[in-house]
Amino acid sequence: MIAPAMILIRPAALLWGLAAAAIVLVYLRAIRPGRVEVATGRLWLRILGEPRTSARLWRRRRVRSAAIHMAILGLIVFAAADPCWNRPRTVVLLIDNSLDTAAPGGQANRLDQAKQAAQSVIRSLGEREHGVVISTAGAAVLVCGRQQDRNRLAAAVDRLTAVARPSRMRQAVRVAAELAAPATRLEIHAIGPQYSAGTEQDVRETGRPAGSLGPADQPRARRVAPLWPWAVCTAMLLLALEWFSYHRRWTC
Amino acid sequence: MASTVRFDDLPRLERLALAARRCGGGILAQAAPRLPCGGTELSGYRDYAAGDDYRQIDWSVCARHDELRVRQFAVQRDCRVHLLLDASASMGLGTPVARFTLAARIAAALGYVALDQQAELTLLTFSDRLEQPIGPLRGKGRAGALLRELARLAPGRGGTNLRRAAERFARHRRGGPRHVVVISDLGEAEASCAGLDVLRLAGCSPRVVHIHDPREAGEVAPGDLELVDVESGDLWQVTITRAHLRRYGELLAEQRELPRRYCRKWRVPYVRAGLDLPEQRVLQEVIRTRSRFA
Repeated sequence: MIAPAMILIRPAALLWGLAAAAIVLVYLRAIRPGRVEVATGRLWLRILGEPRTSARLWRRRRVRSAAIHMAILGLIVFAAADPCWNRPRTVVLLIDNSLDTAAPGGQANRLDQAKQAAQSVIRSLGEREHGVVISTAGAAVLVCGRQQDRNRLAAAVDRLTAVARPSRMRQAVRVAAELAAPATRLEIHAIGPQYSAGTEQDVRETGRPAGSLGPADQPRARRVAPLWPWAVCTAMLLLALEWFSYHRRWTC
Repeated sequence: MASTVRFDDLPRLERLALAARRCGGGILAQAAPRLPCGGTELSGYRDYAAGDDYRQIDWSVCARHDELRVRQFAVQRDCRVHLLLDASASMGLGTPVARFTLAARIAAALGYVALDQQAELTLLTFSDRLEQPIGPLRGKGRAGALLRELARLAPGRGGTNLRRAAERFARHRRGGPRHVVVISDLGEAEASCAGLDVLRLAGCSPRVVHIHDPREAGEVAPGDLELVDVESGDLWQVTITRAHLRRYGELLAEQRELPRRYCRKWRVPYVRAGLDLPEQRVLQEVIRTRSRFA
């Protein structure tokens, strides 16, 4: 059972894994140990004792071995599905670059303040998290598409200039709602003076989850922990144990 | 699986028969009873002793040696050879040739040598029962029939039981002395020795050709296995460890050595025919193995 906080980045791998597991099960069921014809059955009876006892142990060991092999396969499939603690985000930055943002607001103008806020959000992006930059002046313009490279996102934000057109925040929100990467949680950050309760309402109308809205003052850092190394290590450990017990069994 | 005795083996069998004649009969050599005044075949001379029949004095020899010598005669006795060929399921095993194939070739060679020595030959097969596929045969002219029969034979399904076979053999074949050549892998060593005991006590002079498969000890590898006893048909799902294999090797060597020790103790001619050796060498060795009479 996958914990609610866990997300599989590539859930399709599970389907392939199930198919592989089915094949392996059929294989494990089909393969039989070697059959050796001997003329010295009585000698073997003297050596092995009651053969039924040996047969029961033999079957138990085979079932255990098959279970371990299936567990190893399951762990590999689990690793292939790229499980993570905390669902990674797709952060869409809606930056209002209409002309009125060029007006000074304190020490820097409002556009620069919005850029700083956007850079802060970009810096908070973790592993497997995506960012999108959209400018809202005149029309919603995709300045930087879905991207994991924080430098490119930051450069795209830096390139933004004020445009002498009204802000189309509502349209930008609708565009942003379609940009979530698979298996990620969509966060829309509307940054600019046009942000209002109406914008929040617009986001809610898209039916998409929104982690945070509005000009993110200081977005909390989210740590996305990939679990595949643990799965692979456990599989390797099981494999080593099985290998060790296999060889120890014959050499004792 | 039939044995592969061929008719083109005849020249080779003839050479083997010649080799057997040169070594006084080899494994099939028999005791020549020397009975003075008995029998019809002159076997030699000895000094005259008081009480000897005057009619047996050879006056020509006396004239040459200047002393009284009497003729000594041997009884011309029929030599009867019985080839007891193991046809149990275990004889179907073996590499590079099946044990039964080698056993049939040895039987062909021994049979030909016996026919060459004017012996009365009977071929019997045994597993858990005793059968007589052919015989008695006499004269080299019947060698073809023997080879045909051997080519037709194949190992059966039963287990090796030499003791039971020997008991039946001894029960149904009373009469004069006979040579019984047992050609077998002697799977059950104790029972085989008991069978040889029965043959000895029944007045037969047994000879043993032990078909030996040196790869038998290494045919089982460690691991999970299904062991099938070819003689009983039992199947065991077992896990074989190296300790098991060591123990198996010891027991197998002990079992293989038991018939040899028995034969040495009771002066029974014994020869071990290894499957790994060239066939011609095995046949030569079998034929030239000297019995105590040779």
